[in-house]
Amino acid sequence: MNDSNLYERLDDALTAVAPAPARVDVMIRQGKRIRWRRRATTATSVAAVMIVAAVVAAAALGQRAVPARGTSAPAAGSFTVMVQPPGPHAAPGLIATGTINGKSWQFSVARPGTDVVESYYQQLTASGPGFGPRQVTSVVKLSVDSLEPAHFGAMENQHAVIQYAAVQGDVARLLVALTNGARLTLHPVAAFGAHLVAFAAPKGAVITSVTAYSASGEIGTAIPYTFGDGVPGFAAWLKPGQQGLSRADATFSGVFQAKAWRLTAYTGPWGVCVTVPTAGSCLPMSETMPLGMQFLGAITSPENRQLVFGSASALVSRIVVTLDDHSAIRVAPVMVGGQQFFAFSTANDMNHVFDWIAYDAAGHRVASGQY
Amino acid sequence: MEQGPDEEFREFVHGRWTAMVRLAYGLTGDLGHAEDVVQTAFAKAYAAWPKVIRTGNPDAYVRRIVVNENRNRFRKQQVPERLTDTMPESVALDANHDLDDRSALMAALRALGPRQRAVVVLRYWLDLTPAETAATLNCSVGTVKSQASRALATLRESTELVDGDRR
Repeated sequence: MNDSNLYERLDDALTAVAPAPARVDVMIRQGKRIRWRRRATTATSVAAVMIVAAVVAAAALGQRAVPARGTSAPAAGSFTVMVQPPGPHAAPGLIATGTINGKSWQFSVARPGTDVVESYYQQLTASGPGFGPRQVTSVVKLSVDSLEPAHFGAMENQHAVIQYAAVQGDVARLLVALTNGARLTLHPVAAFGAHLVAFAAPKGAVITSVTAYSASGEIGTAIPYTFGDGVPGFAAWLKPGQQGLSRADATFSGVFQAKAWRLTAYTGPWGVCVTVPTAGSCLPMSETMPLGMQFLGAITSPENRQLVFGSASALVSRIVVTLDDHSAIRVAPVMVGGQQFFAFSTANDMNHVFDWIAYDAAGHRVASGQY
Repeated sequence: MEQGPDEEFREFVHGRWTAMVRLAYGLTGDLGHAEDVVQTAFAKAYAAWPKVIRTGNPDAYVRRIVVNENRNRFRKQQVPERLTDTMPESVALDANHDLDDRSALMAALRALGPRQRAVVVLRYWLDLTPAETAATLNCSVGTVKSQASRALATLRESTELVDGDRR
């Protein structure tokens, strides 16, 4: 195959692609949210504004904004919550209704593809005085990984957080436990081909666990990590009897291109969650640690650096990451909660990572990989 | 009458949406992901629209975001790992699998690493120069050349494309 032939085949394959029409209004809305985040992250003197604005945009980027480390979660105080599935004659897409301190809220989803570009995206709507004075909408792709019974997301405002989840078809109910002793039973609702649940609680109410049950018994339990603003982060689901990682934390820091960076990792039954001063993210880990190491994810630091985070097998004592300018970053994994983790900084994205080699304590190459 | 920035942006999106999705499809091999990536890329371009215009080449600016967005998708995926003592397994295709030329090419592209795939699409479909490709990928021209060379060698040996050529 020569260059000309390759061009022709590429052109034939790619020009055959007929995308859905562009929905520019949605792009503009997303762009405005991104603009908000950029403004907010530079306005450090008005921290309160920064947190509120960044929450909106960061969710779309796969990480969520959290208050600076040390900021305590807002106390929910005494509260009562109730949730119930919609009745048999409810409008299509209504997933749950309920009350917070006696004030009602409701959560609904639109048919996939309605008012969004991609056919698999859905608009979610949370409303009612229990949630807050204004209706809040969000556009997401609702899906659940085959390895987890339910995949949670959140919509929040200053008053309340609505947790919603797509659940596997065999999940009959979910039991949510809150720190005030409340227990909520969620029954999945079929909507537009998916099975969904939702519940709401006041901002600052801490979820202690969510347990999924099938018709024949318990499937798994998620114990979420609670970020500084009280919003939970879900990553791992524990099977009955499984312990998960020990509760521990460690701070990784370094200097990249003359700028210091810092990332804190929290391990526990939730898996691993990482935070930087303005954002946090919970990262899924595979159940069996591959030989060598795995990149778990990346989080954007306040300096707009990409902090890459990963785990390494117990054998590994050193990892050399080669960047495409042939420079190398040497990282030593650190044991946190019974598992080795590492972090390093690149510039704005992963483009710079070329390959990696993991070595054991004796200097023998354990494994290698290419990004 | 002079256009407002939103109108200018709308016109740009309408003119470039299809081409960008096709580029992203070449990078991802998945139309859903491709539209997702390009949607985000245009949103980011909108967020910095005055700056994008000042570059004088908004197309190149968005193209670069598309490439970066696709690379950043690694967050949600396990990075393929190969053990040093084990040769990577080649993708075994059923000989009876009725792949047409397009799907054969896409299968061969998917077998490349993300960087090599990007080099192939940018160099050999968009016909960017090595320098333009390097600028888009934020790497050196030398890296582009070496990656292109390796990618072409892999494609020439690709079972999928050889089988496709035989049909």
